[in-house]
Amino acid sequence: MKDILDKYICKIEGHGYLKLDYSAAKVQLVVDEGERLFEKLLVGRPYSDAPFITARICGVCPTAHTLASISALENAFHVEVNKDIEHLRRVLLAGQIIQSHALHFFFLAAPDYIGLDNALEIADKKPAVFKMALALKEIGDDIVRTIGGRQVHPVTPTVGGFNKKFDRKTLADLKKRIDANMHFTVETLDLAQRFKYPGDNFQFSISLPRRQAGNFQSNSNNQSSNTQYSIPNTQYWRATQYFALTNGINYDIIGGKITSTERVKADVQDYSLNIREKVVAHSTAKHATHNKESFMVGALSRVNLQTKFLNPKAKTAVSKFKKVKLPSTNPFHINLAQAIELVHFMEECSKLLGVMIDGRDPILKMPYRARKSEAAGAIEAPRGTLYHWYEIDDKGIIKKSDIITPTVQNLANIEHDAEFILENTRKLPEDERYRLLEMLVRAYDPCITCSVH
Amino acid sequence: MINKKLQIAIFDLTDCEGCELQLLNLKDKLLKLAEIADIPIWRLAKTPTEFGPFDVALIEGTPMSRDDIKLAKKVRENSKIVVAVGACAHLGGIPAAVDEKKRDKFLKEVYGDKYKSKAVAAKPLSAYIHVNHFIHGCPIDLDEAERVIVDILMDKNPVSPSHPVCLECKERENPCLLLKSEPCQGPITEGGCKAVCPSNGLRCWGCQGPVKYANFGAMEKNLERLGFKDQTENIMNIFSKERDTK
Repeated sequence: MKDILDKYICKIEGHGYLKLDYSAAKVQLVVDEGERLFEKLLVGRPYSDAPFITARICGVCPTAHTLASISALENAFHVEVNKDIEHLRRVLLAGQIIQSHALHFFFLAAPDYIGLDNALEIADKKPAVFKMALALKEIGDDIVRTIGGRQVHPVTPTVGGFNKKFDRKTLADLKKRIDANMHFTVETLDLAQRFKYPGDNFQFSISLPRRQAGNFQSNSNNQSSNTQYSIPNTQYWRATQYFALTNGINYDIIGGKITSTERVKADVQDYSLNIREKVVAHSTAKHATHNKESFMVGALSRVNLQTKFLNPKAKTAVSKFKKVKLPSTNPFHINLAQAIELVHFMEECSKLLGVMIDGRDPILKMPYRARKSEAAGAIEAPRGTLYHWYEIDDKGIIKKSDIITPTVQNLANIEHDAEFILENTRKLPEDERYRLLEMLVRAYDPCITCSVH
Repeated sequence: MINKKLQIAIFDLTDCEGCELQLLNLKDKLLKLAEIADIPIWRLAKTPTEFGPFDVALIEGTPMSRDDIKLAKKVRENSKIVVAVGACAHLGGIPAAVDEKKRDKFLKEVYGDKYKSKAVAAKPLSAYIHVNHFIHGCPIDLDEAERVIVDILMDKNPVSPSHPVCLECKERENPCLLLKSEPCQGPITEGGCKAVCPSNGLRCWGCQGPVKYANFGAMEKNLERLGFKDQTENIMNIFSKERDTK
């Protein structure tokens, strides 16, 4: 049985493992989920099923899928939503990002940097950190539960707005709870900027509990044996292109243009010209490229492209960083970027709710008429830009669909970064090289369930 | 009695992992569980340690790939109690909504002609192994998850509510969605979810599975009357196993 369970990288969402050639520095991230064929099972169903069904692509970012699906359908039917709906959707999506970042940062990635294996060990040995983790996971869940109706798989969002009415008091109470937890995000960012990220200072220095690569082994006695490795004078890091939605006005998560650090600027409707998927033999997930080159999406991409639009607390904290300069090309800084975004999006929720509770009870449903058409929609999911596209017939039935998830866009880049690490760590023992690669994969926060949909 | 903690393991097959997240969302209750039990295997949360024997194995997801099926069988051999967690393990869930007759055609359309697929079909866990207990829903309800786990730890048989979603919906004084011509599956769906979907204006999709004595025929007629005849198979797909055996 070990042959099945043992190979998978633990503490990531979904089933994947690394196939390595250490001497040639070749890496394949084998994605091993069964094909669920979401794009096909939507066909023949009414358009209104799509936001509900596509949420089930991923339990970690269901709200992102629901909102991307709605965005595509509203583009198809030319629905213009009012400010109330737009604001509340932004709060909901920010809540989704907080949920996902808090989960990934504390429970999956942080143990690598702290030198422990898992959240239970953090609870035991670093209770103060665990308290922050629980508080931030809970406030993220709270935002999504309050606005979305449930913390996993939301029930309120629909084409044209929300199924449910919200009064100002509900929103005001939520804002109070967000403000009360704000300090935890600032403390989290302080913790994150003190982590030692492999590849910083032009060297790989890792400080990790030594564990044999991929073996079932108790880790109870190993935490103290931290070992430092460093490789000076290598070129860090390999350059790549960073993609996110931007609008030039604020830190965009819904509705902007496809933008990259290499001056790509494209309308979401032209996504398929810019982001191309291809089937790769070793993976049930496709790989996406831009002009045949790999690229990165997600927290670090967004922060790199839009540092100047961060909210005040996040911006101040970033300006005081001692070690890291933004934009950063170190993929391990994705975890730092998640901490930056935790601050930013908590501020964002508080700000938007503050605007909403100042007026009347919000109006959250727009009239519209479904019609024969096709359109794409895109939003920033926790792990990066998420595209949905549908073709709808005159009866409102889905004829075709296309979904490109953030992880599909990151997979090729993960492999390239992993190969780069292998090339530059030839002097390290094999198990430590493997540990670094696992850590890299985790740093990327891949959502493998999403990538095979 | 050997002084050894209970061994509870958590496995995920092909799925969205939302139910695992719900288990994580038990938060401090999970810490309490960790006081009386070891969790040797939970891929999402930790590096795995020892494989079996397990007192309780919680299995989430649809066994779709050959590895999934192999793993499920092996877990069964090594576990006293197997619990199917969530609609995917219980019913096949959303993945089972795909028309299996067209799987090969769909695979070719999505992945091309040369592609070798990993999934064979999307079926409930009980199609491959004996399941002792179920935690229902998509995603699972936290209160039910807690109740079922506590019952099992206390050597009790967890009991399902055996009333339809409608009862819990009426308790909350929601306007009936069927009366608004929505194809709500509440009348034939097992309760226990606090009618969370209809309470938020969304029709019931049947994710808790069929309620005892569900009248599928009446629901089919109802859907026809409401103008959903063409969509009947899509809407009632989640009950397909029970509908076929009726």
